[in-house]
This record gives sequence, structure tokens and C-alpha cells, in this order.
Amino acid sequence: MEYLPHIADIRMKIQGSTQEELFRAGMEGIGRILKTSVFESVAKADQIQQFSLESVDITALLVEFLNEVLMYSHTQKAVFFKLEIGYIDEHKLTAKIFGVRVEDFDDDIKAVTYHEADVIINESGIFETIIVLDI
Amino acid sequence: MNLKNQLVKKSDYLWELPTHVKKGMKVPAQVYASKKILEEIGGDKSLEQLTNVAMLPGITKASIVMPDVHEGYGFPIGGIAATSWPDGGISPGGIGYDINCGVRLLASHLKREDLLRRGEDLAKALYAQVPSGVGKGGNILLSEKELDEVLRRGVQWALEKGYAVPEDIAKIESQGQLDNSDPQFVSEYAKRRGIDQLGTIGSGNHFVEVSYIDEIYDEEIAASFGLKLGQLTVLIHTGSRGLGHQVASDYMKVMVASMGKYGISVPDRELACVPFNSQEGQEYFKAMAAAANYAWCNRQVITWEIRNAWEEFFKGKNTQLDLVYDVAHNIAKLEDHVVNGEKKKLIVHRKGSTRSFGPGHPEVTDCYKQTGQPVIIPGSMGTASYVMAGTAHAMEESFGSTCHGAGRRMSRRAAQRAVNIHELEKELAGRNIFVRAGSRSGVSEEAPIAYKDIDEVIEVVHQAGIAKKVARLRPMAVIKG
Repeated sequence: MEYLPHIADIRMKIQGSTQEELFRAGMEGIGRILKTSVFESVAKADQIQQFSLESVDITALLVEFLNEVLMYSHTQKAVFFKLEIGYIDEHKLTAKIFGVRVEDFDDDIKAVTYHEADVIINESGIFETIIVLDI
Repeated sequence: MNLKNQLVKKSDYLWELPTHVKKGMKVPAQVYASKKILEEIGGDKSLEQLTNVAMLPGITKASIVMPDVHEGYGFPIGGIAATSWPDGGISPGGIGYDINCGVRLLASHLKREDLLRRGEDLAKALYAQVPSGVGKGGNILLSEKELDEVLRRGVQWALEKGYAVPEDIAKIESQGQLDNSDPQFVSEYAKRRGIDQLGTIGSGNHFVEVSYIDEIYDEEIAASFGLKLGQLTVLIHTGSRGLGHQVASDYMKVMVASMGKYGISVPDRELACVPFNSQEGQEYFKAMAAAANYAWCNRQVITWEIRNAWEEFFKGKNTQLDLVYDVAHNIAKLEDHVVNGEKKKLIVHRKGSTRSFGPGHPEVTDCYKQTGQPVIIPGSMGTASYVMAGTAHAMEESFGSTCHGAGRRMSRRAAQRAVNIHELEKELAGRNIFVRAGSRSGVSEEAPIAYKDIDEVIEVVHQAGIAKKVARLRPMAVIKG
């Protein structure tokens, strides 16, 4: 996962050798913006959320998964750092996310956008996409 | 494809990309800019995004951007897209995630001299009174029933609860209440995010700023707005907070899933839309209106907090703060406009642009009927802001719209790298501008260097006749999240 330039918002490139890893990289990209320190030590999860999603394709599924994580971050005042995927295909996912409550966030993220998102398998056989976050 | 090279000059401040420059464009794409601003626009994806907007179903006359334009995440920021009623597209991306982000201006009965050498203390006093920061809750915890009332009735709720005075209501765009709101279409998660955030600024580019008027351009209109040279004023910039963000995210998902069944395809999913008169379109419009009402109520409660702090800080002086006006700059509204000589009802999306209705317009409140509505354009922290007036020409050219700010020219991270926070604070303090912020990165991201030249942006819309310069404000104390 790497952050790329954007004039007003945050553009990040995420990769994973599996769809699960790609989704995990996206979740970490969001979590690090919300609270970097959560990822600097091994934390014991005190927030667990389980949910299922359906969408039109894998790209939309990823964006909507990340928005779901963001929504739980805001409503639970928590940062999620661990993901277990029970099931995933191009249109469906069941997931369990693990996180910790935080006092405050470092930065705000309003939403995960669909802009420039396009999950592809690159020349190295790795799942990859750009994600733009509205901050 | 270099779109900038294909711009056709329509006048000194208006440029156009004809429909043939990109397959799928239904209308031309228009750019309000000076030559200097055009140079900056070329460096990002603004024009590409603008031409994508020109492909929306039902788009009318042109997709338009203002001189404060910059790249967004689908729609360019600083844009206007009007689609035909009743079956043109309504697109949450054309409003943005911060529904009814907007600005309001308060006019005091005090002068700059009353604050000299006390700016830092006032910044501290306001910071203590007005909650700010990422995801921060406020001092008001609403019940679910009360939140529904806020969503349904906007500033009327605030008036009944004592957060407003009756004179405030007429001086808010749409009187601070969109009638088509329906809280049942706002998700429980969105409501959960909004339940404790009323009266909070948030973070990012949102702020409260105490300024003074250092230049009057139109004495008559300024007097009508209650503004005079040297007067202290207060600007409030914020929106619908987490509730609005969640409404937008919820309905983006609905639009992406639904547009296929209406045969709609868009070049960028953030432009996802459905016909306005479809079930999904109507439900979004009602939820958006609820979030807009929340935003107006939020700015009203912040006004109440500021009035309390002001009264305490300036004890013994005339501490009245009068609302001059409150404008939305992320919203969609049903409006009547004349297109090719024919009056049409349109769904006007404003994504980072301000309504600029001129004299005599029926939707302009009686006290500003002669002058046109006040248009409030904040600059960056440390530079000027402007008060302008709406014009009849804006009604003819830009769907009664104008710019909304200076417009970013540098990314937040680039600004963090470029700005030495200590030097910036020292430089601002040297000019008697005091900043109180929750995070240092928040200050560097919003440094003047990160924004375009506000004076140039204002000159473009003034010369183009889509808003008229009335007064200039200079900052003295700024609070940020």
C-alpha cells in the first residue's frame, strides 16, 4: 500500500496477492490515516464487527467494504487492523473486522470513493487498484 | 488528449470545450478563468472531470466550473451541473460527501480597534466554546426524536430551542429548511453519526474566523448588508458532518447498484446517477435535504456558541452579532432558469459553488431583494475573504452560481512538506493573525501557499459579471479542528 499525490484528497495504491490481501491492504490504508499509532504496536482487539455485503462487481465490493469499515470506525470511534474473510467472490463477501477504540483520530476521512477504483490483476499476477479517499 | 489546448475563448473570462472534443459529451464544458488561472488548471484532472460531467443524462446547456476549480474525485470541485426536471439525472457525487457544506457571515457592532492585541485571547475563547476536531462530538446530545426534528425542520428547530433569533431565519439560503426532507430515508448509521455532532466544526478546511472589513467596493450594497469599513465580522465554514458523509456514501452505493436498470452508464462511477423521478432518486433527494437541514442547524448552533463567547469576551460593549447571510456550496436544488429563451425547471447540482441569485429574484429574501443575495467567499487562512452580491447576469450565464473559495493548488501532503509551521505561525502573528488549531498538520495543510490567489479568483467572477464585489475581509483570529 502506498499513498500517491492528490490535489485535495488522498490517493492510495493498494495491492495483494489474493482478494483478501487486497481488501486487508485497503483497510490498513484507511486505518493508518485515522490513527497511525494503532499499527505501531500489537494491539488486542476490543471491537469486533461482522457483516456481509453484495455488490455489482469486485471493485464496487471493495469500495463498499472500505466504506463499511469507515462507518464502523466513526460510529464505534475505533480503528480496525485485522480482517478475517469468511467468504468472497466477485459480488459477495462476509467479513469479520477487529479493532481498538481510540480517543481521537489523527485525520478525518469523509468517504471512500469509486473514483479511479478498478481492481485488476497486474503483470505480476497481483491484485491492484487505486483508491481515492475524500478527506 | 490535451484538453487545455482545445479550449475556445468565449470572452476574456469564459472558455469552452465544444462537445466534439470528447465522445459522449452532450453539452459543452465551460470554464470561468483568467489566463493565469487557466495555467494552473492544466496541471490536474479538472478539465477531464468537467468533460465527464458533460455526459450526464439530462444535462442542460453546459457543465460549468468556476475559477476556484480543482480536481475532485469524479466531479471537479467548483462545478455546476443542471439536469432536466423531472427525469434528468440526480447524482450524489455532484453534491459531494459533505452535503450543504457552506459559509455564514456574522456582522458585529465592534471595530478592529476593539480587538487589537487581544486576537490571540479571542481565538482561545472561541476554541474553548466551539467544539472542533476530527470526529469530535459537541455539547448537545440529541434524542432520536429531536434529531428527526432537526432533519425535518432545520433552523426552525434551532429557533424553537433558543439557538437562533427570529431575525436569523430570513438571512439563510432557503430559510435554513428544505421542505422536501424526510428523515425516514436517512440510515440509522447516518443518524448515529449525527446524534452528537450538532454545533461542531470538524476538521479539514473547516474553520471559524474573526475578520475585519478592510475595503468596501460598493458602499450602497455594503450598507444594505449591514457592513462598514473596520467592522469586525465572523465567518463560519462547515457542513453536515458525519451524518452528511454517511448519507452520501449510503446513496452512492444505491446509485451504483441501480443505474444499470435505467440504462445509464457514466465514465466515472463517482458520477453515478439515476433519474430524479425514480424511487431511488426521490429517496436520495429527501435524504440529502435532511442532511442539508442538519448542516444549516449545525452552523446555527455554532452561531449560538460564538454569540455566547463573544458576549463574554467583549463584556461591557455592544456584543450583538447579526447574521448577514448563510450560503450552501454543496447541494442540489430544484430551480427555474431560462435556457435558450425558455423557462425550465432544472435540478441544479452545485459542488463547490455558491448560489448567486440577483436583484428581484423571488427566492431572495425581502431585505436583499434590491441588491441580490449576499455571496460569501472565504479565502485561505491568512488571506482575504470577500463579500459579493448575486447578479442578474449569473442567472443568464451560470444557473445563478459563482465561485465558493480560493481553490486548492497544492495537495495537503505537499503543503505539509512545504510549510514550516513555526515560521507560518510567526509570519501570521506578525500580521496580527492568530490561529488556534487542534493539530499542527491541519494548519500547514491550509496554509495560504496551498491555495490559489483569491484576489484573482474574485476578479474573474466580478469581471465576468456572475457576482459583484461588495467588501473585503482580513483575518485576525482563526480556529480550526
